[in-house]
Amino acid sequence: MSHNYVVTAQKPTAVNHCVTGNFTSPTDLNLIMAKNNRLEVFIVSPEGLQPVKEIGIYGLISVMKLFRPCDEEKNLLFIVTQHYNAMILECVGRGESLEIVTKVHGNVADRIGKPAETGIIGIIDPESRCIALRLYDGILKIIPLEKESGELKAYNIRLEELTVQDIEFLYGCANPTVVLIHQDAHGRHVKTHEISLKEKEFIRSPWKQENVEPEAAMIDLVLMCLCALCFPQSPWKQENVEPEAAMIVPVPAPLYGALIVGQESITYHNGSSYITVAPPILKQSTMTCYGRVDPNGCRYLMGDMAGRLFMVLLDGEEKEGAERDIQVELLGECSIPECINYLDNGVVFVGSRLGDSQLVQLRVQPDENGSYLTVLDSHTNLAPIVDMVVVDLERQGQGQLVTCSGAFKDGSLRVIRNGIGIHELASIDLAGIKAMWSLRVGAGGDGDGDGDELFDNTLVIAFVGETRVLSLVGDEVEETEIAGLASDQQTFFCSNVQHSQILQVTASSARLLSDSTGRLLSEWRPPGGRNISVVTANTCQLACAVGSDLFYLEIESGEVVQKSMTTLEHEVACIDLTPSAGQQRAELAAVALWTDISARTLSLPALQPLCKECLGGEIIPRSILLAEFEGVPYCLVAMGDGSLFYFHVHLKSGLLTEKKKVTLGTQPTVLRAFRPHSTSSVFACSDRPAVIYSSNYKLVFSNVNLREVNHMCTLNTRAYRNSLALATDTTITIGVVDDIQKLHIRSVKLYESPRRIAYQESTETFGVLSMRLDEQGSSCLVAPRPSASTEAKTITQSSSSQLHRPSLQQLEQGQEVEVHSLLIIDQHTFEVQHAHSFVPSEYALSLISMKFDNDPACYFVVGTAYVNPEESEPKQGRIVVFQYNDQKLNQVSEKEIKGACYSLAAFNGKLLASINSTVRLFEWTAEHELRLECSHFNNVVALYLKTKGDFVLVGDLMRSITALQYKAMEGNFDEMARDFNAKYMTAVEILDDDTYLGAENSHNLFVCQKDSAATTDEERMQMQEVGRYHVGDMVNVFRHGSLVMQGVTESMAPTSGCVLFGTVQGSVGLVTQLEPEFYSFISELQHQLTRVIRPVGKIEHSAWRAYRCERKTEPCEGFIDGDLIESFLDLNRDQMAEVVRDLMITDSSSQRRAATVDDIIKAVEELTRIH
Amino acid sequence: MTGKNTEAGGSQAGSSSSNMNQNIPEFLRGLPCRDSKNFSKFSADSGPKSSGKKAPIYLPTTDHPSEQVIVTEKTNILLRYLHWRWEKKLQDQSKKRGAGTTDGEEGASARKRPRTERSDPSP
Repeated sequence: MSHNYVVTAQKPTAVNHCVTGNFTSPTDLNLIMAKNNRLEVFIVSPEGLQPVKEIGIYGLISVMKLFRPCDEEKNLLFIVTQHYNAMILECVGRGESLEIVTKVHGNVADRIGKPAETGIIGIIDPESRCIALRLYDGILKIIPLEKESGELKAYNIRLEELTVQDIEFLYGCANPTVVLIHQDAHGRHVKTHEISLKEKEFIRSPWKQENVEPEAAMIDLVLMCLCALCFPQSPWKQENVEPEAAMIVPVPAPLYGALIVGQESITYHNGSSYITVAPPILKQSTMTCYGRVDPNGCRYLMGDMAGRLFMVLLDGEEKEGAERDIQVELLGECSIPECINYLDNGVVFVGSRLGDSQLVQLRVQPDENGSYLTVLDSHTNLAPIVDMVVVDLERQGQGQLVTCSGAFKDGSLRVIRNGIGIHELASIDLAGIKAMWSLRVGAGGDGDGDGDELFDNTLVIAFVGETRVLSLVGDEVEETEIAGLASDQQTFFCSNVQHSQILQVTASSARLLSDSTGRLLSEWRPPGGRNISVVTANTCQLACAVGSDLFYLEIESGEVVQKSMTTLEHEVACIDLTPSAGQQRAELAAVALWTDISARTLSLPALQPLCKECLGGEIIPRSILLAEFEGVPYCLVAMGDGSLFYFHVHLKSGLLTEKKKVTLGTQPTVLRAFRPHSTSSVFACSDRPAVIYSSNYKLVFSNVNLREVNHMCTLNTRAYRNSLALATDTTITIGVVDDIQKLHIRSVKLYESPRRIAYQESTETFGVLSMRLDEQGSSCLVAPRPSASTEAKTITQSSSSQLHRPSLQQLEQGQEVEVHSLLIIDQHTFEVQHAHSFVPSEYALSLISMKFDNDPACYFVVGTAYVNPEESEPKQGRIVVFQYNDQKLNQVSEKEIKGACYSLAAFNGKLLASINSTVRLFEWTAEHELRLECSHFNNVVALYLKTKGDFVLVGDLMRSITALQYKAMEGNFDEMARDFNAKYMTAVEILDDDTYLGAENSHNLFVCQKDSAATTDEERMQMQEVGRYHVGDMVNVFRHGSLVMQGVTESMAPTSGCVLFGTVQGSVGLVTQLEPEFYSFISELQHQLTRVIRPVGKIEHSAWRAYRCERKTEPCEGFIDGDLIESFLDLNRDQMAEVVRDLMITDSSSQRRAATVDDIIKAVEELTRIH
Repeated sequence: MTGKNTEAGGSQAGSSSSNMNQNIPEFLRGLPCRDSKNFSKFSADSGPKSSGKKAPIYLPTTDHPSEQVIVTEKTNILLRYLHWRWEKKLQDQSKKRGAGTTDGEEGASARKRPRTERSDPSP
């Protein structure tokens, strides 16, 4: 039995479909994006796209269309999933009460039928009479949209045309009429079919045009025009259109007809006449998608595979004696589009699968580059994740993911880390900073001329035994002095306070200064000349402790007045007086004490003790803070060992409740409040700095991409607005924090397709295999655009002469050729240090960084194949060993191999390679050469390799996985066990010695176990499939590693191991193992959740997660859907209670009892922290 | 942002190409506008934030029964086609019979009819 938990850390980002219409209300203009199994609904507003809702669908969305039945005021959404679940959705209500109602649902699969190679196509009659689905070859499924009955009776119509490239409904037809492009042995043809909904058949066309020359069609013009008078559209066909015609664009009234878009031409056909244009500009690439601009169908935006956006104009008026004209205008370049939607006022949404989706403004005048496009906004997209590595660049004990994302001109590396990014704006070198504060000094601060906003202009910095002042004017920084400020002592606290004063507190006194002149106004000293040990203040109150004596003072004009004093049991360690939200004055003081290690609340102004909470242990509290998150008051206490306690505070009674503990760092931590983007947050300064904020009324602890921060203060100057000043041992960094988000993604554009990535710690570099498309020029290959491999600091090439390789066939001019390169990229700057290009027919397929036995050097090893289009399988390839040293990449060794090297792995100081159907082990000789040691043959194509100790896991093209054991003594591989099911593998991973994880091309995950204890060889040989799960996306890569700091929370969920995976749709997920007992508990929770959550489209959760491939469907087993589990936290309290109703939990004293909502929240919260 | 476009939209296409290029190219003239306020307050500052802002997740817990369920007709496609043709033929024949004409094929078809009906419910 296997106990796995799968959860998505990053939801899919590729935009597959996009529609616009009035979905949320008759007046809202909506944009709806489909990202794999999620819908994102936006409203077009003056500010841009406003997100409304994100809707999960239990299935990969294959078809998404908006349509409006004649009696409806708004659009309905029609969806078909990859597994043929169809649904019609309506949006009801607004805001919080918004509901997505499944009006119609049903499965439209047929028991027999060959799924069409060109995918599922779904189209809706413009008059909403019926829906047509092309699911299987030779069959068109019609769903009549009848209102009356409770059943929509779908039926199939036989399509003579087997290979349908594209199909659409025509506008303005008496009966629903489809137009399609189909392919046969002679080429591609266009044809229309009129559907009789009554007879459930195509209607025979009134006149036939079989085998008529296109010219001959003109003779029938008169007849056709007569027909056209009766109905704008009558059946027609056009044989032998362009051989690559692939897209049909139906044209609405008043023109009717359709545009047929091919690789080189665009044809407009309206049944009676046609016109074709083939502008040279089209030749370079192929149109893949379109978006209609005008409701009357005059203009269309079209996008091609190269990411060029065109405007296609269909001349509306048929002039006397002149034919209609089609104009094709290049607008400019955008991300490689998957869908294009005109929104409003010249703004277009370009959805992309291979690059970031963009919001683009059409400019009426071209910019300096001749482009009519301005990119307003872009939506990050990681898809397709082809490869990735987990590295700990900052050495904080937290992994980051570097992915090979995107393709072609939109190829990039993405650096993904959990936490919050600080964008550095400036830095000042200053060592030994103890603390700092920002101030407004001078006449009303630096606030003149910019409304009411007051800007800081000064930074007060405390050092041991002195205080220095920096003035910040613009981006200039200079040291200055404030007359009344005690600069010969270490400042403990400094701030602007009420009545235009500045408060400075040192060990000896609290000083009030005028903020305009900086003159000292008054000074308060603790009685008996004792020294202040800790202090805090807000704009009108001040609290300071002298040993165990606590003084409360109020700031008045020209003086601070002591209001009360108390003596506590022990010395005060830290203190806070933050007023509750929206208040000037604090009603409560929070203190933490030495010796008994307690946190306490005291009333103000009397300093009456209200509540005492012992924290336990012997570590001294270092910082205490009252903070309000999402309206909930908390008290945070940071300890000397980097751990943090937090409580809920009752503001009236001062009660501290619901104590929790997390570990943030290992060093004393200082807490500072700040407000980025108007959400209240707390910055925890330590060796592992973190930002604390609240999401869904839960505290989130997010790491920051800085190594160490000793102190922090907010800074809002004219030049650095809403910034933070962060002090490390040696520098002050001024920066802004990112929007609060869990995964932080940084993009490193390569402008070519990254394929493989490997990290080399010793040289602090990444090796990246990438591919660019060059064009054959008149004499040589030409790179059409600058990209990573052409812009590297140094460039080398494999020389083609010395290689025994198949000769390249003659290339036509303009033909595209793949050129593969090895890029060496600096881990800090992400600059391409070196690019080594392979000869055009040599494809680089695999890459690792490794060390060999008896050789201290670290190498990049590349596996290649020579690709000859005439061979069914590569017959030759190379394994090339490179060393990067002193900014130079040198080829150390190469080995000719008989096939394609699909995968490489370091294995006991040797090199393991999968070459075509074989797995081969190479030794590294003293002469720096690779020598074959042994091989294993028993695969179709060995695509993937993973190793652990002496074990090797092989993923085959179609024969699932095999586990091998290396026998060092015999020097051979022993086949231990094999999964005998047929599976087309896409990625494999070893979970432990006996357990293996695989992903296959029907979007499933499975876990196989080797049964070492079995009695017979035959049983031992056979792997048991112990886990099955439909993950709903194609997994390209598995990597061991984690995105979170290990051991942050005290009571982490009982999980072990963590394998991250990257997918084609740009999602990142993880698979971890749960303890059996916890697994059954979470499994029961999952069951209860499926009872309460009613899926949109009425697809059962069990059907969605069932292992499903072409031949069989088996229930999900051995896996828990973490996405469903985490959705528990998005339920309201009542719904949570409904889920929890029948759940039992084993508490800390091993007692079985009914679980409470809070038990489950805690358990699920802990599970969310694993990613 | 689009005010100029709508103005220029009225002018005739192709009247003066040089003049046209100096102003707004025909293919970008009079871009559709549903609400002129849309995107009017869009700023580069608010832009990246809007894409970073996450929509609340819709989690349905109330069960709305579907008004309609899609079911696929189980009849074999070929049989339905034959049946349909048969009916059509019968209709034609009854018309012809009404006109008082018969031909030799009619008998043959009439004999075949029961067979079609018998095999009909088999799938």
